[in-house]
Amino acid sequence: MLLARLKWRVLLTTSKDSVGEGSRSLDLAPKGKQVEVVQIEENRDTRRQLAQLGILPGTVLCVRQSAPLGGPLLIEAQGAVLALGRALSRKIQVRLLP
Amino acid sequence: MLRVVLIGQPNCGKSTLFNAVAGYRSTTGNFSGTTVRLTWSRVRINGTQLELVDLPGVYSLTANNPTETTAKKFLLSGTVDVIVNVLDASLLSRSLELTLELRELGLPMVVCLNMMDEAQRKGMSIVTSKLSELLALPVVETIAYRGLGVPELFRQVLQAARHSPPPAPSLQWHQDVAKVVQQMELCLDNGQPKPLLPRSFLAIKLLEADKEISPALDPQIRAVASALRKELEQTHGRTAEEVIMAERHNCAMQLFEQAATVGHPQRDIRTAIDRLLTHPVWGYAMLVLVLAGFFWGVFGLGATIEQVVQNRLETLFAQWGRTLVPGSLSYALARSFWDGLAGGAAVLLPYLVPFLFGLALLEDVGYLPRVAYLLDGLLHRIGLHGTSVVPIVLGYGCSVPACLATRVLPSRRDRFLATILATLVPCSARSTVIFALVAFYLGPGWALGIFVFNALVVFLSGWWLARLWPEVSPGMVLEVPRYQWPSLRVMSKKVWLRLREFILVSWPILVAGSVVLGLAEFWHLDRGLNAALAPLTGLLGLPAAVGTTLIFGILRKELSLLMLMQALGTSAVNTVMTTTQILVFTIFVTFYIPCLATIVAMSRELGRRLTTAAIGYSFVLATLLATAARFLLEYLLN
Repeated sequence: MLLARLKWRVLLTTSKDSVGEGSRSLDLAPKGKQVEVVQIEENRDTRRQLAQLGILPGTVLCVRQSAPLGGPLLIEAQGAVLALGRALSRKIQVRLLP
Repeated sequence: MLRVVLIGQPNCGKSTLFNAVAGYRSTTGNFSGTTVRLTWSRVRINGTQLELVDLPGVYSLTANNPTETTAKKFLLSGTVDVIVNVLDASLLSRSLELTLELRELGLPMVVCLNMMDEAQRKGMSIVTSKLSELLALPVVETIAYRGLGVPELFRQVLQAARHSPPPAPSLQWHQDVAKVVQQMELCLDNGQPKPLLPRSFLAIKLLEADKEISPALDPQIRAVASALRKELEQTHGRTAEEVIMAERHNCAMQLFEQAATVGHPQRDIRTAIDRLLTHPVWGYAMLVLVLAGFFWGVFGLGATIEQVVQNRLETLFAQWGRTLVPGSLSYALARSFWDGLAGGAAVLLPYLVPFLFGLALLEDVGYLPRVAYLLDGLLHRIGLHGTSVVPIVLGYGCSVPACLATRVLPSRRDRFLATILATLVPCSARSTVIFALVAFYLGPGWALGIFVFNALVVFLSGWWLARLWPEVSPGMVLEVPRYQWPSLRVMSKKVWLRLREFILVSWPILVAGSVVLGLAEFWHLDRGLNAALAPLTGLLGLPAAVGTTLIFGILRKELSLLMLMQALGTSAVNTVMTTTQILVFTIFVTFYIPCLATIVAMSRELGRRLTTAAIGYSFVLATLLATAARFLLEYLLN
C-alpha cells in the first residue's frame, strides 16, 4: 500500500518534470541536490523579502527537509538554513544542477 | 558623548556582543527625536564615554516590516557617530549585502566579523586584511560569546570616530546600471536644496523607489528618478529595485570570492541533532518530549522549593506574631503584610525562576524557529502565519515582549491575530497560578490538562478569528539559525530583567495590595466590591470573596493568586474551595483581560480600537469557558 503510494508519487514528480523544460517548482526538487533559482512568481514584497535572504534568480539552493501535512521546506541558501512555506516554494521555479 | 550603534542581520550575535560590553546595566527607552524603544547602555572604554545602542536585527535597509523601519529611521536620524556592522562570518556573502548598503551612508563605520569559530568549522578561511582593503573599512575578527576580539573592536571604533571616513569606493555595477546611478547622482547634485544624506545613498534609494525617502524629495527629482527606473526596467526586464538588489548581491559575492575561500567543513554533531529535531516523525515526538520535560521540570523544582520555603516562613511568622492579638488591627496589618511578602517568596518565585530559565534556554539554544517550522503546516491550515509561533511561544514567558515580537510579521492582520493569541497563552505569572494552585493542590495532571485545554482554545480561537478577518497569508520565510551553546550570562540577564521587574514592581504592589485587602476586610469594606461582582462570581460558582481578587488580577496576574489566599484567609486553598471552583477560577484567570502592562504594549502596537476588541474578546471568552467548565465539572465530578 505504502509502496504503491510512493511509486505513484515518483510518477507524478517525473511527469511534472517534463513540463517546464528542466525547470520545476522548488517543492518538487529532490532532497539534498543543488538547484538554481530560475524564476520567482510572487508579488514584489515577497520577492524583496526572499532576495534579502539570498533567494533570487541565479542563486543556488538545496532542499534539506520537508515538514509533513503541507508544512514548510527547510532549505539551504548561501550557507544559511531557511524555512519556506509550502505554498511559497511552489512559486519558486528551479533548475536541477548537474 | 559618542553614540555607537550595533547593527547586523538577525542571529549574527549582535546582542551577545552588546551584553559582553554593556553587561547588566542596559536599559530600554525612548530616544529624543525618535519614537522607538531601543536597548542602550552607557559604557566607558579607554576613558571615553560611549552610548552603545543595540538596533534590532535587519536583513537590509529596505524596510519590509516595522522592525526594519525602526532601524532605518534611527540610522538616518543624524544622531549616530559610529556604526558597528556585526556580521556572522560563516554567512559572509549574504551579510556583506547589508554592509554595502550601510557603507553608502558615509558614516564612520567598523565591520565586526563575529562567529569566526563557526566560519572555521564550515571550512571557510577569510583574509581579513584583504576584506578591509576591498571595503575601505576597518574589519575586526571577534568571537563575541568568548569576548575574543572585543577590545580591539572598540579600539577601532574610537579610532574611526576620530577620523572622518574615506569616501566609499563605488560599487562595481554593471555598466548600464552604473550609468543610471551616475545620472541620478548628477540630478541630485544640481537639485535644491542640498539633501542632508549622502547623494550615492539617496540615488540608490530613489532608484529602489524607497517608500520613506522618495516622498520627502523635490518633485522634479522624483520625476527624474521615475524616468530612470523605467529605463532600468525596460533594459533588464524586472523592476528597478530588483536590478539594484541583484547588483548588490553580485558585488557581495565578488567581495566574498576575493576575500575568502571555502574548504571542507568539519563534522558537526549539530547537523545530526537537527536532522532528528526537524524529522517529519521524530521531530514531533521530540517536541512533545521537550515540552513535557519543561513542564515537569518547572513543576518538580517549584513544588519542592515551595513546600520548604512555605513551612519555614510559617514557623517564622508564628514566632514573630506571638506578641500580636488575633482579631486586632495590628494583627490584621501584620498578617496581611507578611502574607504579601511570603507569597512572593514562597509561592511565586519558586515557579517563576525555573520557568524563566527554561524559556530562556529554549530561546537561546535556537529551538523556537524549529518549533515554528514543525507547526507551520498546522497553523497554515487554520489561516495563520507560521512565524506567529515565535510570539505565541514567547507569550508563555511574558505577554509584553510577545506583543513586541509580532513586529516581524509583515501584515497588520497577522500581527493582530498573533497578539491576541499570544496574550491568551498563559504567561509566566499565570503559569505560576496554574502551578501553585492547580498542580500543587489537585496534582500535576490537572495542571497539564489546563495547559493542553488552553492550547486547544488558542488554536480554535486562531481558526475562528482567521475566518473573521480573511486574508491570504503570505508563506513563511524564516531563518533557522544554528544551535548555539546557551551562554549562562545572557540567560541570567534575561531572567534577571524579568525577575527585577517582579521584585521591584510586582512584589511591592503585592504587599501593598495584600495590606489594602487585609484592612478592607478588617473594616468590612470589600463587601461592596464583592457585591458588585456577585453576578460574575455567582455565574462562575465561586465564593463571593473572590470578586476583589479578580480586579487585582488585572493590575498584575500574579496578584490574583495571592489575593485569593488573602481573601479566603488561608493559604490552604483546597480546604475552602472545591476542585471545580479551583479549576474554574484558574480557567477564568488564564483567559480574562490581559494585565495592564500588556494592555499598554498592545495599544502601542495595534492602536486603541483593536486593543479594545482584543480585551473584549478575552473577557467574553474567559466568562464563557469558565461557565461551561463549571457546569461540566459539577456534572462530571459529582
